[in-house]
Amino acid sequence: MTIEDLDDEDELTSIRFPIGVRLSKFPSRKNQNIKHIMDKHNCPGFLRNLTSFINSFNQDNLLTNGRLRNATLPFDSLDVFHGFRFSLDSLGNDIDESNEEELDNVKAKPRSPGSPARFDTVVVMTSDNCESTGLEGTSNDLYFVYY
Amino acid sequence: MIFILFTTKIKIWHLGTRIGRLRVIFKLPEKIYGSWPSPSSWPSEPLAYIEWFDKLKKTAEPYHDLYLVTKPSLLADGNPPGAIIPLSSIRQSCHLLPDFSNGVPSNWTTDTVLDNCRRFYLNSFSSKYAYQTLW
Repeated sequence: MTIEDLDDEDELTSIRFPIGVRLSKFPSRKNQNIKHIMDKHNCPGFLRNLTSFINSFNQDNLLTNGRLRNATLPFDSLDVFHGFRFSLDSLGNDIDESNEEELDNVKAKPRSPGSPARFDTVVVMTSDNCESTGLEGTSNDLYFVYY
Repeated sequence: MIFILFTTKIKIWHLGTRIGRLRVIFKLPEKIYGSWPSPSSWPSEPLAYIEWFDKLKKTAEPYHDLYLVTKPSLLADGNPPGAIIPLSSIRQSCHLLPDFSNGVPSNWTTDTVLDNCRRFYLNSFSSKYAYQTLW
């Protein structure tokens, strides 16, 4: 690998991640009871995480973990969507020979008559700087020597 | 002859990212306690509930250059580690290949293998997009 190769990669990382999330205007299921969601979506930890998430906005009266276990939410139902799409057009035309916009369909859909459940696996950005840096990390393991 | 030594950056594509399983896509309600408006500090954007896989190792596995993806241990309350995140923080979908090195148990099917298998490989050959981004 040469210094020139690294420069090429830097250019690539700035264009290779999707930007547009496309979600239906209307939910797939309106006012779904949270316990019902946990059952249908097979996610027993949902309520605990949702309670913790809501608590994080309660800056004046943040509950400790111990009290959080007994906390109740000020709502008991949610509007639920069964999927969304990414627009991958930020990749540029080189990846799509037809030059048409490419879409990535992602599902979180419980089982229904004639259709099995589908909960897709995804890559999540967990730090603020990973998209802007193109997921570039540093390492001291790699050295270049030339003469 | 002159030798010049450089210490430089290498690409760790997954720095600041984590693999997860998307369980619920939802929005917080605009009304609480029946009729009160919800706090303005609550996000109005769509949210997602994710169950995490373990963080990826720094490097891919030898021979096939695929990253190993494993399920974490359950928490003390018996639930898998998870988080509520903005839907917009999901970067892309990804395909996981089950680790077949110990055979194929009878309870692994297309619809159940993500539930019943604990070791996978991140498939960077699932699409041209994955090939360009998951390495």
